[in-house]
Amino acid sequence: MLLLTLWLTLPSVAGAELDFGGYYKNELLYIVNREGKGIVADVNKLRLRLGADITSYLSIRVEPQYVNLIKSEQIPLLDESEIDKVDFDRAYAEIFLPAADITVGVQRVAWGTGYLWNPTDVFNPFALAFAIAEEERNGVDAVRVEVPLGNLSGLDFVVLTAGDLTKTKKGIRGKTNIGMFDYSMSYIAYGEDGSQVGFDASGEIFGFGVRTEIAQIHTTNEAGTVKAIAGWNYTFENGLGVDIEYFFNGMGEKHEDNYDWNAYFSGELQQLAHSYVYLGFSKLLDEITEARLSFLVNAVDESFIVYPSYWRNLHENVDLFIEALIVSGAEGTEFKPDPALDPTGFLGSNMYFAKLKFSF
Amino acid sequence: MKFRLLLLVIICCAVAGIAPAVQMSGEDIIRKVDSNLTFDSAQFEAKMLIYVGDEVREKRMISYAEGADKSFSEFTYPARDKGVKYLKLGDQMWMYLPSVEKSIKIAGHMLRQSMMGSDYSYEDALESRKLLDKYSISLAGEKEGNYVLDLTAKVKDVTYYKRKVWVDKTTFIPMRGELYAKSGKLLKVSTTEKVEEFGGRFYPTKSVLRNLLRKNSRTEFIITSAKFNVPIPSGTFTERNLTR
Repeated sequence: MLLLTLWLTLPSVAGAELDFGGYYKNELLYIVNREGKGIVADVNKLRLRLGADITSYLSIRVEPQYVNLIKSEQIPLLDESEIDKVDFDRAYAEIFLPAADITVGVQRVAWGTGYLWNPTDVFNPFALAFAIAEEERNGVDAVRVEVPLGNLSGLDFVVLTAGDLTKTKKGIRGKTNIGMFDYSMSYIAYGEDGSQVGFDASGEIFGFGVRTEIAQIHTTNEAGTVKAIAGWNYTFENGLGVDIEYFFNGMGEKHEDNYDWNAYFSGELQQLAHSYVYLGFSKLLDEITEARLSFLVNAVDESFIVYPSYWRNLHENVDLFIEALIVSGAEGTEFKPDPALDPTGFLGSNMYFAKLKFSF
Repeated sequence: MKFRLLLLVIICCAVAGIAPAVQMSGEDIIRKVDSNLTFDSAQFEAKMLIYVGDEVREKRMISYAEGADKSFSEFTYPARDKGVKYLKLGDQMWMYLPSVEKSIKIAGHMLRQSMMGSDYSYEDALESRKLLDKYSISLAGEKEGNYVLDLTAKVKDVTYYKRKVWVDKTTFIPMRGELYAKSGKLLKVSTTEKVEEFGGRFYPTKSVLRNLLRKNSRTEFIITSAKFNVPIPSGTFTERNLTR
């Protein structure tokens, strides 16, 4: 609220340069649960992007958002704590010093090179990123110091500030560019729960865009567990793009009988299995239309999600998305869990979306 | 009498330093083209008009460039694209998307993809080396006040294996370009519709590119203001500026 008050009173501050923007999105969903019953829901989201450059050394940014949900039936479709209220998903001040940039407040800390999975990105975790790729990840309360050491090199220090500082996550990351590759290494302390070291790289080999990310995790329960991704992308002369990403999850199970469903539904685990594969195709049909088809496969239990997507820019600031999430797999698999275990009641349902987004 | 008059004219021309016209080679012409199109530094404001059938989308940007190897662009319009930034250093390119608050390296043949939905690809935007460094040149002839040149790649990593270029004989600006794949397939056609003079240099300020792999589309690139050889703020061509 302090930052919003500052932004609102800044017109009276000489020299302040204000930035106003945002978007409104309406998302109509049709969910077909495993019994074949159809459920209709409509999500409305208004997000404002308010920024102010107070001086050349100080700027503030506030992004309040309001989400409401209209549904035909009571279902736990969204996190109830996130709807029907104004949420300040971003609220931070940036201080630009000659030697460093300091960011204080609720912000996004984006580490890693993976498109779908980011073993080294533990500050703003997110599941099924590809499904709503245009959505912002939830912000976290943090202090971040970025020290540039060249055009493409630098150090990044992050401390999460919500709660007991002795127990929150703290990280340091160094990055650079050598040849045609970007590299970075990181260390993150989980407070009392352990730590992880990470490495990532992205570049090009023989015309393929390549990326990799590795994290070795040490916790009180497990020592030396590895999570890693390897990704490749290629675009043909006709514009067809292909993207593949493999995720090795050292904390996952090699057999579905051993899945830890309690940890999964409590949010302690984001993935159940040992390995996953993502395959995506994209094609710009014309300058304002794109079609995509993506597959997310659990390589252990062979359940998968198919995600077809169609985008069209209807007007300069108006975008239409028509999408679906179609789930396949035997009952008891990750994407089609046993209904008795599923507290949400709708995992394993097929979902169809029509989204209209107005940017301003 | 007539012979003496002719001899007098020739002597006068020699004294005045006016030499008889010498046919320029293809390399000479392209050297002059490269001289016009390359610069120590530049700052542009520009817009792209992307035509798709009867529809048009306008995108505006501010760009900075230093030599052939460094450029930085930020899109300022429309609202959905505002804040999208590109950084080019040498043969590498990065993109920053404000919606995901992350910079992404555009690598490999992903560079073939369209830039902001236009007929320009990331490869087109990355092109920096002088034509003379990349192509063998032959002068095919002259037509309607233009030199016509055939360019064939002499290095491996070029976007277009062959080009046919029409260069204006007065301004040494390419007025038309046909861009071919190695297979001989015509991929894109570029035309210059407006040329302006900036302190003794000619520069195209309105170009139209047609991607022939797409039906009924074209992109107009219009420079609305340009400054050459101006100081560029330090720190412009950095990842820090990309994510700020």
